[in-house]
Amino acid sequence: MKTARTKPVSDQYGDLFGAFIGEREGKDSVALLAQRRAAYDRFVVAGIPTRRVEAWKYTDVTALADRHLAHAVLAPIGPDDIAHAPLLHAEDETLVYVDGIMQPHLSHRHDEALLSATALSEALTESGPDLSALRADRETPFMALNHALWRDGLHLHLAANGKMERRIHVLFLHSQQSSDVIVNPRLLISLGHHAEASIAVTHASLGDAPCFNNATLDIALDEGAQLNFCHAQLLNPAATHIGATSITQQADTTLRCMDFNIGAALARHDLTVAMVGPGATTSLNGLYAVKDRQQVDCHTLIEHAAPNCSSRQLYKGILDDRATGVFNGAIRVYPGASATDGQQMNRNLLLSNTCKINAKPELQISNDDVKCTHGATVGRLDDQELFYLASRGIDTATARDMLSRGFAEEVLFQLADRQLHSDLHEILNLYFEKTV
Amino acid sequence: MLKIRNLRAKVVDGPDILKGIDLDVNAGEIHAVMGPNGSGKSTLSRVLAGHPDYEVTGGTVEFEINREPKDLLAMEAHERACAGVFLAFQYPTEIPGVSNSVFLRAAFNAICRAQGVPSVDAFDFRALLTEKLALIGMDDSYLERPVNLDFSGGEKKRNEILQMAVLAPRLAILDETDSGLDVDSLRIVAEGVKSLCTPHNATLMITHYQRMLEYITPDIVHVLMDGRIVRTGDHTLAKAVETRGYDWVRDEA
Ligand SMILES: Nc1ncnc2c1ncn2[C@@H]1O[C@H](COP(=O)(O)OP(=O)(O)OP(=O)(O)O)[C@@H](O)[C@H]1O
Ligand SMILES: [Mg+2]
Repeated sequence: MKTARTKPVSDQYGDLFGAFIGEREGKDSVALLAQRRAAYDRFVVAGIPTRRVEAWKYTDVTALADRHLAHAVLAPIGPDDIAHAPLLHAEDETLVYVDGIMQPHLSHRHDEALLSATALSEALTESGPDLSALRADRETPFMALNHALWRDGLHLHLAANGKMERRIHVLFLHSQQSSDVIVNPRLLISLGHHAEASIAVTHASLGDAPCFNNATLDIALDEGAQLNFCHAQLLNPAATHIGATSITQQADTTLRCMDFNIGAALARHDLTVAMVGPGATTSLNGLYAVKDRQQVDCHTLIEHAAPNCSSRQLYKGILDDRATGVFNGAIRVYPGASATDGQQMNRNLLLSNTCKINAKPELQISNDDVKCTHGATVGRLDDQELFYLASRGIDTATARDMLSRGFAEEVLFQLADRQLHSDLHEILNLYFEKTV
Repeated sequence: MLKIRNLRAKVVDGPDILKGIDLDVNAGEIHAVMGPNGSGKSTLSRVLAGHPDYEVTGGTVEFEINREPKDLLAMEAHERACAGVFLAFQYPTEIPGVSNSVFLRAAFNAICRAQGVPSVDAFDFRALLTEKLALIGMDDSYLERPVNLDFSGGEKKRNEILQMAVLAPRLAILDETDSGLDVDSLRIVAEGVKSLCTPHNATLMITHYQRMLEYITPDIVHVLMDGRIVRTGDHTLAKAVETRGYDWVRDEA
């Protein structure tokens, strides 16, 4: 019996799943097929959360329950078709997907010995790991749906002590489709102990067609590993993105993360970082910018489950027109996680009178030996700053533009990767150009 | 160049702060304005620069542009700056995320555009900056830092004068540029300001101390008290104020 807290999904999901599972028979292992069926059942039982569910209080996704979605119709895509895709650089270790399908001819592999890429369907043999068990306790309906429907899931593994000089870029592209399609990107990344890498995962559109991008991403950092990670949601304004990213950090690992959200009509990203080994550090920077009637919802959860870990979070948001945003940042400190240092800051800039932000920090601390701070600000452009620029001859429109960009720059500035910095800067320019 | 008559101003919903200011400044002149805390010196400077917090309740301000007197009060703050009015703030504002060089170039180009002068390319602008930095004794590490952010008090003051040097205003109002500067910085900044004074521009220096005036001798000194200029004299007036305090001026006024 479902409660009224969720909305039952329409039969068309059954059709989507039926068509898909038929096609997978013979390709997937029996175990994986069983996992997919079970995941689909969990999705149906769960339904789509309504705003009565706390985690979805400010973002209404119930339209997904009966949205007419189809599987993508695959057409050949050549290098010219993706020439303008964001963050593409020939020198990167690039893995390109179009509509959920791996495109080896568009990808660039330089160092296959160091960085292995295995199809998840192969990795999941009879005796292999049960992906859904990775975090069974906090599987959302969307993660269950992803598990039922992912196509070319991938496991990227960087061997222990491996130092990857090149940036690794996994690009999920959406081609121009004639119907509203659902794509379920699925990625598992693991860094062996003391491995070092820089990885970007981006979601982007090649045309203006709508799509539902439902992504699930797991990252595991083994002892002493260091990861610079960038998650960039750059979909078109007709797209829906729901992403769940879970990062697990073992002892003495370092994570520097950029969570960048500009593009989709509706974007929800749940980013969970579990620090399970002592001495792990995390620095998490986020930027979201929305306008028109766009909606963005960033949920972060930092779990301090081991002693001597530190986390820093700076999330900034820019909202204009009638856009709405949510930032929900939770820090959970477990018993025994002594000498925890957790800091979180969320700042929002409202550029119109009709936009709205719900900012909610959440500290759950079960321990005494803890230094945790958090804060959230919501503001408009500062009058004194505007006057300062005006007093130097800069007109109001330009001053507003400079200050808004400056607001965002403070986050982008944290990126050590200058190339990535300038790429994201460019994407941000597009946001502002259409506003001003 | 600047003609102020019976200027009255207040903050919105507040009492009058400026209660009838009369002041004439000609090209080539250096004026000093002294006065006790809270007498309205910064208010005068901000009203002239067009700060939106203040409401002008009476009087006129004429500023000569191309030898024509123009109603300064009718102009927007950025238009005043483009016409050559510059205010070095007593408390310069921090602008996170906007680098000093980007800011300076935007300001320089805005003023060039308004004055019909072709703007310069990034390369030539850099050369100009290098020259002006040397004048103020700053190194170029300040250029890529966000405007005034985490600058020390003295560094902020220098940064104001760097902007003055780059923007070459016709009327520079320096609000307590000397306070917060150590002795060596004061000398460098004062000499920098002095070198920027020409027969074609004018400077209004607000100060509490004689020390800046030792480097830059003012032609005229005004004492502002309770929103009015109560006394005007030559540079000896500044010395007299410093030794004898304001009660003396008040008693004589
Ligand atoms: N924006 C404002 N809001 C409220 N009061 C103001 C504002 N600006 C100025 N005042 C008040 O007006 C009076 C004059 O202030 P002003 O800053 O002009 O003084 P000042 O002569 O520059 O003093 P100081 O020598 O301390 O810098 C003070 O009483 C001040 O509190
Ligand atoms: Mg003052």
